[in-house]
Amino acid sequence: MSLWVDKYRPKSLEALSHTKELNYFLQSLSSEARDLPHLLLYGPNGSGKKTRCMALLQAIFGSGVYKLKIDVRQFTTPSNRKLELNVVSSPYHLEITPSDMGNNDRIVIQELLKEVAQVEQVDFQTGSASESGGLAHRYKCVIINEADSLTRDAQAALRRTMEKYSRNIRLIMLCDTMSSIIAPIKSRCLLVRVPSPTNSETIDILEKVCKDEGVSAEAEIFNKIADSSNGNLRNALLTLEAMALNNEMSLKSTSAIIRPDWLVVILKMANHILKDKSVGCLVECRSTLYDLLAHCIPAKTILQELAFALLKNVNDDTLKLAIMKCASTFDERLRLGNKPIYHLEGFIAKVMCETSS
Amino acid sequence: MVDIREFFGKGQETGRPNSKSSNASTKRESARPTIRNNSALNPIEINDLDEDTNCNSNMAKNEQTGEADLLEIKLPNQASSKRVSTMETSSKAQQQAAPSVKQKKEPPQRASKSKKASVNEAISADEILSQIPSVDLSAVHVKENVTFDFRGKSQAGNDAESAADEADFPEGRPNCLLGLTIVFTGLLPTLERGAAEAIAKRYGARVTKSISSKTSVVVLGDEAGPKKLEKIKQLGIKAIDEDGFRQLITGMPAEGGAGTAAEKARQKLKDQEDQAQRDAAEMVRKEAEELKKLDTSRAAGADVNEIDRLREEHKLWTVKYAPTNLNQICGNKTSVNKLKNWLSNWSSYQKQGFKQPGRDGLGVYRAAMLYGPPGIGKTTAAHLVAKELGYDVLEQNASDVRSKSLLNAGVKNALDNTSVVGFFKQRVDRTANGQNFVIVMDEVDGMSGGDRGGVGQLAQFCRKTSMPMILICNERNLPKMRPFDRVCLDIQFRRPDANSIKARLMTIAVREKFRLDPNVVEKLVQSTRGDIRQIINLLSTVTTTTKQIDHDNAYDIALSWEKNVALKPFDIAHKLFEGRNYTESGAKSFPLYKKMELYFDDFDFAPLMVQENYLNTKPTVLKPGQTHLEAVAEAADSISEGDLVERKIRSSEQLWSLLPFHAIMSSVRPASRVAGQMAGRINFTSWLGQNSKMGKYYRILQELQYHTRLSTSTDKLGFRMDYMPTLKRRLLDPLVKEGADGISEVIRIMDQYYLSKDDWDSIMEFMIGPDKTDSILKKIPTAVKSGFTRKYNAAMHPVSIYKTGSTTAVGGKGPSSTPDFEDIVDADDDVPPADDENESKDDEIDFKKDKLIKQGKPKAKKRAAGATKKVPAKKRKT
Repeated sequence: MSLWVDKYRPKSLEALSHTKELNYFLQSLSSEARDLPHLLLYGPNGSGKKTRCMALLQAIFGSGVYKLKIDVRQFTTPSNRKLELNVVSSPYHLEITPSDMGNNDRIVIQELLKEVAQVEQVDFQTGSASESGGLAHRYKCVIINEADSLTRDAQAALRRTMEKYSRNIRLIMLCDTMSSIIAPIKSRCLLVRVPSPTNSETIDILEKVCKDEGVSAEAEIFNKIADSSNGNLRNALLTLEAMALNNEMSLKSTSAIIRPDWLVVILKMANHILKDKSVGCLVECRSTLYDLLAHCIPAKTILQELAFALLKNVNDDTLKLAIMKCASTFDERLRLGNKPIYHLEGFIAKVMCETSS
Repeated sequence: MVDIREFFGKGQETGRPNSKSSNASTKRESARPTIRNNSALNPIEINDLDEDTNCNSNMAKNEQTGEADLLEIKLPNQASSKRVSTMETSSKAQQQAAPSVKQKKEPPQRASKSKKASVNEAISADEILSQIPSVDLSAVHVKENVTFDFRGKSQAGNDAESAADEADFPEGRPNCLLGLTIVFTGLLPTLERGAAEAIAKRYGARVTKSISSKTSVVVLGDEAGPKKLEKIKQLGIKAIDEDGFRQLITGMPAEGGAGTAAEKARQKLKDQEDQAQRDAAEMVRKEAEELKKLDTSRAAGADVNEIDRLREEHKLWTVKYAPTNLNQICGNKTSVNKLKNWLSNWSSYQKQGFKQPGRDGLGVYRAAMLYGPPGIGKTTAAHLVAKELGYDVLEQNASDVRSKSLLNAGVKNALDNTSVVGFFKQRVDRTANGQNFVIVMDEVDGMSGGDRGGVGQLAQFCRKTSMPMILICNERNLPKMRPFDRVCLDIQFRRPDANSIKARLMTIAVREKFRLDPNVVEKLVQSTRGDIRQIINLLSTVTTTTKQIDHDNAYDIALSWEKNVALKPFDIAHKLFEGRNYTESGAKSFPLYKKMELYFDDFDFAPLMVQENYLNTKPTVLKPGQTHLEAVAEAADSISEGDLVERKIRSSEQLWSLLPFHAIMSSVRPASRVAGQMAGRINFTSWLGQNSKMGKYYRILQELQYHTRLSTSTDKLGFRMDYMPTLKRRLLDPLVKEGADGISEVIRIMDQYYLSKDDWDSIMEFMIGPDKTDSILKKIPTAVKSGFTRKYNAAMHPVSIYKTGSTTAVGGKGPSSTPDFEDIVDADDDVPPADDENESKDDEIDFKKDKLIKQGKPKAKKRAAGATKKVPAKKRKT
């Protein structure tokens, strides 16, 4: 009874249905599992990084990697604060999200990783897991989620561990962009780009899911969903499910695309901004922005979606240029600054000015 | 050591030059020519003065008492009681003589400047005014090319010394505007409004803002309001221009001349002065009595040494002149009376068990809370009221540690004590019984870190105390003081105004023999914000160097003693957004550095307050052609840039030297763009609330993500942005569409994702905009909702994380990565984790380790043990 996106998630490399070349590459990696390099998987949201990563582990260790459990680990900071981190693990691997700890992620890297790295796996046997059923390899894999939000300190702490304990530990890091990963880490990893599925690949997947779920759908609608999801397969599948639920399992080409709640709010705000360029409108926008931010929509996404929505509604090229310029200015400030609301508000005020003249 | 005699000598310098006594050895004195007198001569001289009725008898009297003091200090060993007593008698004689003399006496101020006062004093203000041409009300534009630098004048001080100033603005006779009520309106050609008002006040006029029938003259400038002009016509008030004002000042005789108004004002002044004299005399008498007592007790052989006597002499002024009875408390009469009423009726309230509020509603309180700014006599009032009503005071203040346990040990005992005492003394006269206590807890808001639990405990005492408690604090509205809400009688003390302080200060002035111009008291009060204690300290310090405080030096004194009060965030925002401060003239009086100082008053809140309120102004400072929106955009831009600076300051770089820059970028510059009038109230910053709300939601989201982690593959934000909208549908729609029939489906999905009922609720909270679930949730019948909850609680549910505390599975120390051989056996399972095959093996381990099962109800346990297949997912959590 899980969501389709989870129900139809491929569990082995063979079953992965898009970007076939990458599958072959990963398959060849898994066949030489003894010297699996550290991996850095990067690519946009919903392109299947984690899925691929798990499939790779499955190919190396066997399906035991899907026997997951979550542990709560406690750490003590130098200032004696107790921190707790949830660690997802299987017998063969650990999965951590150091960014959960905010600024204390260095502790996680230093303590947890080292601890894991210093313990040698004892009961390893030669041959792959499927043959012997024992421990496949003497190393354990550690998946680091959201590696791009690791602080510099944490990344620096990672450097030496990666080399020194490479006998016992292999890292697989997942991130959206590589820009915030420091160069020493990049040079120690095999960089694997995981691209988004192309539209046609997305459509194939959607069609397959529809068939299995018994949803009648017109072909046109898949195109629409693929377009709106913007290469995010997860999004595409979830949208499909939402629409199917909404339309009693039969999708027509005219059915409206269901957008997530937050996106609807942003689009509405964009329209409002262009219609009513006044200080009063800015006040209303502020409360909308606060609402979005409070409900965990990242400021970056708000700015991006807002800017694109504005561009769509503006015809004049010079205006488009001006909006883009504002958006990039304030995007930079978002990154450099502390309080997102200031910059979002500044962006809207500026755009109102630019478009009203 | 400075000879005290010198001070007294200096005090009379102007009034009685011949009586100056000095000690040439002191530095200050050596600068001027002095006449040396043998101190022994003084008594004789005083006697001479007694006969001289033309002389200022007050001064003489002061002189005499001063000398008495002096002699005591100077010759402590010789000072026999006999000598003191002679002094006393002569001073008493003077007191009797004084009233008859006072009718004719001139105020001391006049004596120094009376050289010029040769004008006929019989001229009344009306006569002078009639000589001055009225302004034609229809054409109120009078331009003049007289340059006048008031600032220079006011700072240069003594007008007799600077001839240039005299030429610029005419020197009037002292108090020449006495009895006049003047209104300034419009822009005066050369004088600033404030300066003009200062001049008028300086010469004793009353300056008001609005025109009424009592107004004696209006000084009209350019661009006077039409309403005011109308009122002038209507009431037929004399209107003059700045030139006329000059003429008025030059023309008027000293002391306001003849005329009933001036006479009245003079009378009032005189009354004030008389009162001051009387009070001072009273004080002197008491002091002398004290001394006498000391002396006699010493004569009687008691162990009174020199130190005791000196201690009497060397009291701080604030102690020396502290009010000794309730009438002497400046201002706050109603508050003091309220306190007195309450305390005097306390025992009768107690008899009624604090049940009946009574007519004034005081009857239900066992404790009273006095609050108000420092230095206005809260503690004094509490003590005096207690004293007057015959209570003994048990005081605890911030110098005592007042933690919960110590309060329990100390104060609580006292509480119990009195209850027993009350039992014994039911019929005994209360004043005769010294066992009446009142607890005064001073500086309650000073209870802090060290006084753990003190505030709560104190509030507890307030509820059940069997003896009156008076609590004193400065800030009543702090969250810390919340426990005292409704358990205490709140009595607010306000800053007394200048008038109520004036009398007291004049008394001190007379007593300490310096000259204090009544007209400058207001200024001092203003600069210390009504803090009486500080004014007295100020006088005490200032008079060590000068014996005269009047218009000439009051400005400097007030400036140097100005109380630096850190403004509250609201006041900061209010001042920053005031359009007046950004005009050309406004910027002069409130320059950039002062605006920055506003930021530094509270640099955490100033930027936030600016950001919160910059959209709510009606700007008056727009550049030509600029729209409101453009101004707002500029401000927003600046705020955004200011945030970058703040990041530099607060991040690991810690560049605190950038604070001034941040002040400009985050507060002053944005405010300067949109300054004007506030369109509504100033709001408190909402950022803090929103930020903590965001923190809360992120925590919930993280929790959700952990729970669902085993079934999904995404990070927090992915879960929020992609999963949640669809998941919400799956979790909510069945309930909406099918009602009770949908419940089991929803629970199945929840189990699949390891969601608890709380998680279900929080997912519903996450939706915003049109998908907001509030209204939909309301539509679901209550029966369905409660059915859902019941059904969910009835069954066991898989949990993804289970905090096992110290069990073996989890924990800080034991490496959880230790190979788990039980699991390894399953390594060759099918790709999707099969449920049934390894169930049996896992279950055995489960029951040993799994707290979940222990925690569940026995019934649930049985079922879990019997039919493990019903809870397939449980296995995964091992």
